[in-house]
Amino acid sequence: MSLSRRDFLALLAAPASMALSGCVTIPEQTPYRGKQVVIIGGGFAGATAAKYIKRLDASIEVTLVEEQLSYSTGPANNWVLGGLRSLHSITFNYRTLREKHGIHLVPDTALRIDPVRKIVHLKKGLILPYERLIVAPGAELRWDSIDGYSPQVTQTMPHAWRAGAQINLLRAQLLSMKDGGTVIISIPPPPYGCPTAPYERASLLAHYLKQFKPKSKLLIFDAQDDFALQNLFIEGWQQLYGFGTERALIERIAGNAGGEVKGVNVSQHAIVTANGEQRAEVINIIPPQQAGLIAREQGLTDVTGWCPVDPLSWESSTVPNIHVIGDASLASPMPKSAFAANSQAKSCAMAVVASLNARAFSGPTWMNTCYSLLSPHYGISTTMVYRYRNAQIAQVAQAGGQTPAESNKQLEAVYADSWYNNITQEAFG
Amino acid sequence: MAIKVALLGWLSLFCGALWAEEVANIELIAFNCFTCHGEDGRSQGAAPALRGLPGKYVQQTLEDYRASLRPGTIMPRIAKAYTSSEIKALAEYFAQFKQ
Repeated sequence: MSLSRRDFLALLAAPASMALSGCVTIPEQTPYRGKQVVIIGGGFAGATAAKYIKRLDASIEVTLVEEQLSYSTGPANNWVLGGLRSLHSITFNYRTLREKHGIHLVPDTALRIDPVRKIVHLKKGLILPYERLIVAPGAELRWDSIDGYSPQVTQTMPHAWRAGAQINLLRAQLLSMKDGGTVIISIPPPPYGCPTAPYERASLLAHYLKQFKPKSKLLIFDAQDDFALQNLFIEGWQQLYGFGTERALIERIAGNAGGEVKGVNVSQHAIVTANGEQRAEVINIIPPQQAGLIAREQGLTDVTGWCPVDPLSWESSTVPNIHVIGDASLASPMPKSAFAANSQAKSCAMAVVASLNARAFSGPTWMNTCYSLLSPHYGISTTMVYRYRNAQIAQVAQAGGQTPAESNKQLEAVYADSWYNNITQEAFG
Repeated sequence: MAIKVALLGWLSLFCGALWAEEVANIELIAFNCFTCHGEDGRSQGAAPALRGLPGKYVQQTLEDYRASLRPGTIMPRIAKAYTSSEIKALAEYFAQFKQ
């Protein structure tokens, strides 16, 4: 028995109850499936990969499995917190992917992957066959690292890391705080995506405080001793927020000064560090992170908690025919970022399309840029180009780097906004 | 049959990687340009649209960024990653689009 393209579409269209009642069965032997790609996860990695596979070969059936009907982006969620953008303006749906690009959308959760039969079991009962599977579940928050912190506690001490209700909650807490209050941001040890995001968040919360609550203070409790673009952030904070002076809006307690948050005291509304407890009116806990659940449960991760891959095709080092891209992958020296996910998605799409058409693919190259706004008119960046060398991702030695001292920060802020419009159009437009 | 085709694909992929390690895929470089300059060079913001720009202009601009002869924010940092032949091929790629 073979499963034709028409059968596959019928399978997709089949109501979940049909699949549950056993009317849809998958033969024991792996059938020839034609060119079918299933993608788990509709963030920057998954959505961009879906679009580029269709772009490169419209005859490939691409199915995107994403449990949420709309997606609020990680990038720019700090801009919402700082009052620069609305949450609505950073929230996208998948209608264009379906209607304009012919991508099948399945609003469901992938429960289990059978890599031998090459099928994905979904929560509502549907079974999706694949020739190639792309897993892009992103990073998930860990609840086992900060004593006393749990999903319930996020209702009073938001993580605000996944955009949406948590962003609204943190913003509302900031708005209702009295002038003279204290705001705490807790920053975890790396890796998390993206490396500069917590410091951009600190900057834009300080931007809000400077305008509306200038007697207040923002304390950064940091698990790290040093951080990405530290010199540029410090210079900007000195210019904008009096950093290092008595009237500083921002203060930072580094990891080597006891900055790592070990726990929270919910009844006292305080954080706990090696130096004791610190109370605050607003507490934003950014927890440590790990690869998304489906990647961890299906044996795609290694001891690091992330997914090793061959970056030539982004195929998993542990399970064949499964590709892992975006934050869940081990892509060092690329950081975890939307730009990196986008770049990985494009090269993965090319490799997958080439392999499904029995064509060669070589010479992948990637790029990353992380923009950070320190205020609406003060932008900085770090950028890098990568090439495939000795079966690894290598930085191009003479290229990339951070914003030079003499650079025009106003212009970088303008380009940050422009970048956001373009990368979101690429993923969701 | 499917297995044979797949095997052939991955075999050629592997061989391609061996001898062409340093020859970058030009279309993929261009795809990476899209992230800031818009899909197919149609920009949705202040970053310039690259679509349909004359090839010689794009080539000269990138060469000038590479040689630090043209001021910019991130382009002087990015252009230094590419060879002259890659820059020429990229310029031709963007010129092929009609504006």
